[in-house]
Amino acid sequence: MNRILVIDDDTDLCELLSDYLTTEGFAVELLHDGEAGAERALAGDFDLVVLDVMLPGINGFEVLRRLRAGSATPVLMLTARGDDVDRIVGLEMGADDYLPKPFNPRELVARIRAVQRRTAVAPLTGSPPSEALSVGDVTVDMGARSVHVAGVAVELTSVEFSLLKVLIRLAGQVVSREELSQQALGRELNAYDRSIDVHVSSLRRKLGALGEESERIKTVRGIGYFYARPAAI
Amino acid sequence: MRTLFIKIFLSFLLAMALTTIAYTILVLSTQIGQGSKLRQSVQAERSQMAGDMLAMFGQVAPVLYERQGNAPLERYARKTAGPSKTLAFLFDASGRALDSRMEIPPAVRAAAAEAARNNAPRNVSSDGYSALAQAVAGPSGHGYIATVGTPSPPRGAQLWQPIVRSFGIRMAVALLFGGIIGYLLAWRLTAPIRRLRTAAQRLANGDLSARVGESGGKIGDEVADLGRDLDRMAERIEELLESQKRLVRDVSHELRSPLARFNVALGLARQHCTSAADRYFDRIECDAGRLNELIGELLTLSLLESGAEQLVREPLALDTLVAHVAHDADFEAQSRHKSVSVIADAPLILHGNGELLRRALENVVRNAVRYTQEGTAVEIALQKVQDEGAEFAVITVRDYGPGVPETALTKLFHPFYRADDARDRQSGGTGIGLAITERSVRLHSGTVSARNAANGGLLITIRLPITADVSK
Repeated sequence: MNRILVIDDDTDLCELLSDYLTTEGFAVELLHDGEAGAERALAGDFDLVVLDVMLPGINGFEVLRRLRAGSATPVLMLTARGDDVDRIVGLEMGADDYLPKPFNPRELVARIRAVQRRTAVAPLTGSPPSEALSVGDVTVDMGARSVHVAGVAVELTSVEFSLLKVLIRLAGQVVSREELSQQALGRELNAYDRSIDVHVSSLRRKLGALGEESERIKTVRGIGYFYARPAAI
Repeated sequence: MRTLFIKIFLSFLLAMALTTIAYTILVLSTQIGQGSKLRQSVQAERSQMAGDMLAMFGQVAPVLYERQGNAPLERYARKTAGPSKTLAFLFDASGRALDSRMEIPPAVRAAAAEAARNNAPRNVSSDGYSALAQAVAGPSGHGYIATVGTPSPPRGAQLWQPIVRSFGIRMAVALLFGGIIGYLLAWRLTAPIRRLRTAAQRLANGDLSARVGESGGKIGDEVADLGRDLDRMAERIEELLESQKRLVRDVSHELRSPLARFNVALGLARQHCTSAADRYFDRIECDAGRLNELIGELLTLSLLESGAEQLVREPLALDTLVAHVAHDADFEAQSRHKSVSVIADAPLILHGNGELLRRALENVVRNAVRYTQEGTAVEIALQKVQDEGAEFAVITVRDYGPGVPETALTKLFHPFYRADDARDRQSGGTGIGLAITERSVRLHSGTVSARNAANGGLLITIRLPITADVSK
């Protein structure tokens, strides 16, 4: 449960990271090139991929895209601090979590462990008979971990799925960002942390709008989000 | 664009109208000029003819009358008249008509009467006839008066009346065609200008990809050239700004990579050393964090100075922005037993750069959180203020800290300024936050100021004008 692939072109950083993570009990493999990284990630059987955004050759987003095309391995992206969150939000991410550089290695480990917890838990909740939740035209199948919008299947990352699960289960009620962070990311929300917002934006885009411009997932400023129940028929 | 369009259109119409009027006047004056000359020459000719005819008639008519009688006289008179509508009459010496046929024009009668009285040739004109009378003698020796009457040539009025009447139609036609062509011309000329303007506005509003392209130049090469120049300018601007942003990103990356390694190395050190070293490592970590923050803020400041960020503006809901900043800051403050709350709110929409304003407010609030005493709350208020006809959004941030000496209040917004060195270094912060705030606010044509609040603490006021969308 602890095979990690680190893809980052900063070789010194990778070595240091490898030492640190190994001490924490992980098995670490290092790669410094996007192409090779994507290939290895798809071929190997890793529990987590730590991926840097700025890579030579193909950039981190491209690696992520290729990886997602063939695997659901959790990915934690190391982003550049100060990047406009809006820029990130505008991109199709599909990563499970983001950590800006420079980061505190303790934080990195905490997030890796959070991802581990999440993916470890998933198979267990899968075993009860498939529980399917429907709100409006969206159907979430807990067991199969699949989502359908008006009959059409929608691809979601595991974080997006967890997020939707929480929101749908509490449809019509406001869920705080802190709660969403715990449930979907498996960790506490830090100050000025925009990860949840990024995931929600991605989720919104994938689910599509609800008819005439009405958002499925509505923002309650200062508090959190809620899934809008369709107007009573 | 309407005024230029109207100017061209109306000018064209005016030109057509003036042309028509000028033409008409010209025609009229030449007609009148020529007309009177013509009249005169016709008049003279006819007089000449009349004179000749009179002479002949005067000789023949009495003889006919005396030798053959009325009827032949009348026949002769009619023959004499001929196609020129000249009429000849014979009167007796007292002016009585010997002719019994048709109406004798009054001019003829008058001339005959005159001649009878004065015994001299007379020329009278009236009612469209000109008559010449002369006393003649017949072979018997009796006196007679021979008269010849000719129709007058048309008066001046008859010449130019038709021209004036048709003026109305002429003007209408001129205006119609002038209007159509003028409209099309104005449209073809102003349309490319409108397209140029659209592209320029988009560029000014932050869309660096805006170009005039092919749409700019079908009519008027100068306008097409302007379009091309605009495009070249836009490209240059886009290039410059992109290279600036790239530079900042690269610098950021280059400065932060060592820091990233530093942090992991520090983590490793902690892993392998005893807790005795902890507080030293804490110190190192703290300063590394400060260094990182400093890099971020310096880069932001440099971006602000270069104006690269300011171009993107959009309508912002200020109350949402304030709420977000307050929420995040409160989260951070709680861990230090402090809090942040919004005590006044207003649904104000401001046209500006969301990222810049958010950071500007954030810096002020985080500062306030740093200095406010434990157990107190930093209070944020958002209000609309009317001042001399203009509307402003006023955001105040008040803390319950030690405040700042009066002399330092304005210097707070200078980069790296610290009111009290010793304490500030302890409390954290880079010294640039407020400078960034000041720049950002200034970019939005606003002002930021600080003063000490009534019950202790510092009150910072940000005033932003609420302007309408500049593209309208």
